[in-house]
Amino acid sequence: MSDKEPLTQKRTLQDMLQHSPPADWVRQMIEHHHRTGAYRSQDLRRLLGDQTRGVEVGPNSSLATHMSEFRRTS
Amino acid sequence: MTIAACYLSSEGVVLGADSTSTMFVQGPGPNAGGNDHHYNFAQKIFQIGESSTLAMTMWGLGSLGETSYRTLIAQFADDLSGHPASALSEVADRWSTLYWGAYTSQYGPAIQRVQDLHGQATRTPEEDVELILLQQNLSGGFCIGGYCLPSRRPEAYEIVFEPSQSGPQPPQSLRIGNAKFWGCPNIMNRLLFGVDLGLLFDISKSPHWTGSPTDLLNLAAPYRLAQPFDLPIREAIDWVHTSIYTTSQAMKFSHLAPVCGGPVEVAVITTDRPFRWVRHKKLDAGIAHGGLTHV
Repeated sequence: MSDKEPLTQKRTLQDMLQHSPPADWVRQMIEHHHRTGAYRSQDLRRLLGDQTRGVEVGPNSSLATHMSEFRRTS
Repeated sequence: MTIAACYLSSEGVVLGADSTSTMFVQGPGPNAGGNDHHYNFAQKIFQIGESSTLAMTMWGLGSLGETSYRTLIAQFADDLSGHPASALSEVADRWSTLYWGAYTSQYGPAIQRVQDLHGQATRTPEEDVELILLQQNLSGGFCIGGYCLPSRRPEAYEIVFEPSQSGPQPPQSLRIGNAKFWGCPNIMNRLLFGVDLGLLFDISKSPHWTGSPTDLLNLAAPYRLAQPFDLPIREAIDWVHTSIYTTSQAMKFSHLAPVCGGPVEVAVITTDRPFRWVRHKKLDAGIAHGGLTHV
């Protein structure tokens, strides 16, 4: 494997992400906003996070802890 | 939607918040629809009393009907003036109790509806949506920070409320040397952990993923940006400002409506001084379109 291959793979992935159509739930979210002038709570929560839960950040923060909390409240 | 943050340093407490307040404005007539309006000069950090060493910030539900948080906090300060608290934990407890009484008094029927929906053995899809909407619209919290003399040890407590609770929740203390933020966590999560937790969750549920949840976490974990412990107070101020500004700018330059943003307000209570504003809007900020006072 050459050194350049991972970089090429990253670029390919980036191209795919930039050019793939939005997921159904994202399209529905945008359509709902166009139709009603407001976002649905469940869409905002999915994209931006749970506004009722705080996130602690420090030297001992761990992805596993945050993920566990996320699973518990999803 | 609010972005609020607190950094608890050994030198003091830093509180920060954005300034956007989203209000749905109903059109005329029964079926005329309406639109979300985003007002950019709301205040979400308040000193508790005058010349005090106490302050709070808030997120989620923005008011209690005709009672503003400004008024409720002023009434609380009056109560503290007549009956001083001996510790910040007592301040947090008393605020939690006072707020819960006002909250349940204002939203009693909606809170009951949430609890009824929770109690049902099954719910229709429409009831699920109703439950999420009520939970989201009637939830929020406060972070109270500072200290009660003669102690000069800085502390901060998180107080959350949501309509499925049966009573006020015990305040949770923050840890010195750490930060906490609320309201719109995913942008900072992506930055600090290198990935959206929702994306990890979706991958772990996908039929295309054949590893374990731990395998997935082990792949993502090295992309985390480690954080320092107990920043000097001016760096803590910068951290709070940065976390709020980064989130609001990410929203501003995204495809989404600007549900958070406006001037970032920051306040600090150091162990040798009472409450001070670091950045605070002047009362004419709405007229001046974003003018800030640098105290």
